[in-house]
Amino acid sequence: MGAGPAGLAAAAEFVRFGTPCTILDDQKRPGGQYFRQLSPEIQSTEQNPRLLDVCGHRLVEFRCETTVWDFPAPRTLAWVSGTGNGRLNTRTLILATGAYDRPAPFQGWTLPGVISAGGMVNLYKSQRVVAGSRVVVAGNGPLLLTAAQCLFQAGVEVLALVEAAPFATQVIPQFPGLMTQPGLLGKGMSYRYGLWRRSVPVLEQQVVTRARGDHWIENIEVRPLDDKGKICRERRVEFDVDALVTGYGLMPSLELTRLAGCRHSFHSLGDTWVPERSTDLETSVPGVYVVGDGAGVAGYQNAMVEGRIAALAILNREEPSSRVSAALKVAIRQRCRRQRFSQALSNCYRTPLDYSALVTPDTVICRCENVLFSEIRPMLTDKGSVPSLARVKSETRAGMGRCGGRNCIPSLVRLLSSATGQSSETIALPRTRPPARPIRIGDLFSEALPDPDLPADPHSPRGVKDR
Amino acid sequence: MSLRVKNDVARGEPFVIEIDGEPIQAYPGETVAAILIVNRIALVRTVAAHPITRGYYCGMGVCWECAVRINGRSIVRACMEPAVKNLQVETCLNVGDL
Repeated sequence: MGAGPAGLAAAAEFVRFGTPCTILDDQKRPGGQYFRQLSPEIQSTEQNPRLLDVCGHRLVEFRCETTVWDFPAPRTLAWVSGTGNGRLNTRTLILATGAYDRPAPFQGWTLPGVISAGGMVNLYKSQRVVAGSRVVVAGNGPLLLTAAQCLFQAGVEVLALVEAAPFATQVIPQFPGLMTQPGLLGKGMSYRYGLWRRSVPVLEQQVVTRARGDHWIENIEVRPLDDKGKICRERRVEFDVDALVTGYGLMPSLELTRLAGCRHSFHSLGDTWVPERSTDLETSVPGVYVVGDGAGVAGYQNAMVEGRIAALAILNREEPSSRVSAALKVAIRQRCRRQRFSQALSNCYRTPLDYSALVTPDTVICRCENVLFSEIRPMLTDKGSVPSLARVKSETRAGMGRCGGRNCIPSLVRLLSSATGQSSETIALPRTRPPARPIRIGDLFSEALPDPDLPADPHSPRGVKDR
Repeated sequence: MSLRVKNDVARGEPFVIEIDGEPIQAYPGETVAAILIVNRIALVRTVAAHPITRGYYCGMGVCWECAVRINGRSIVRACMEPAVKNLQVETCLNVGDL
């Protein structure tokens, strides 16, 4: 599931060893986010990466624009597409569902013209369109450099790159780890050089605290962070912009691993739950594997190796052979190297920022239902009852919109943690229920559904460890 | 500057789509969301009688912030919808609209 770098790399291994497979993806074309292709109607000399050709191989059935919305049984998935719907029983299942931009609410982040770093890169890659002509790129992490690079190629004036981490001081001790992937290191350095050559100010250990505008973004305010991560109220700079590209790292998409009943554990550096996996990348549900950024964000190179590991492990289990097991061993070793790199990269971008300090009473927390922090705060500080996400959700509708809580639950966890002093991993997530994505009821009318299989306690999130 | 980048790419013949009754130029291969951004068209929603404006945010079908009505069909994510000739787009949805 998922035709990004991880899913396609897995399919390529199946093809290499003559085993048929099916790929499902909810987008029109394969590639996922990293290998997102320019629309075929727009002419360019750019070549598509060869990995995409695997979708056209005779052993591969590629089903695009297909949304998976539930796992009615451990390896059975329920899908909907533009032309129909149904169930797919699988022998083994590889989930390669990827990641999305982590929400980090601040005042004015819902204004048109404020777009996510991933959204900016996609817009450029797929349509050669940019969000503005005077742009600030702000947030935390390496994706900001990629977004800035797209803007440079488009000839856009980048007024500043605002990075919440003290990158320049943190990068030096990480060099040994970064050197394990010289290609990626070189790419990163060339992007940094591009900023320097164009005299773009790189404002490190600073954050955008406010975006303002009438109907479209017009102005932003940037403030420095002290070493404890507190926002300095005395100093600030303003920029007049017509777009703000903002990204604070990526979040793995966990809806499907949670619906599949996989066991998860908390990953503190990534500040998120991730599915537990064996060295073969199999989850706690036999026959269900998770690979790529959907299992913990580590970049496309790691994702491709993980896809290959899962495919080779499955092949080796079905029909053990020395050729397959040798390839598997090599891939597992490669993954260690890739992980060392992504670990080092995450260390470079560690930030002291306290995200809850960015939130003001009139900051929108849940974009879908337009729920402001002032509506949520009383529930976080109420001494008379135990604060919980379930209560916030049922009283304010935060997390009940079309995005399925993906754009507010991570923020709510941080706000609740900061208000109560609880660590994020002790905060129970609201249960993930089908459908994992909004689907039309009409699409399901032709399907005879059996009774749903619900746990005894409807409040316990499926797939998250009981405590 | 135009927000449509011209370096190294060639677009096909432009055509017209209708956004809230206004004719707007579009190029083959573009999504409705891209056309909204290029023309600085904000999506206005009503929450408890107050208008709020939103626009393209995640660009990959996660956030649903670019939801619009297309040829009377709602709700459609503008970032996933390719523009075709004479498409009719309505940008004003209410929070909770279906």
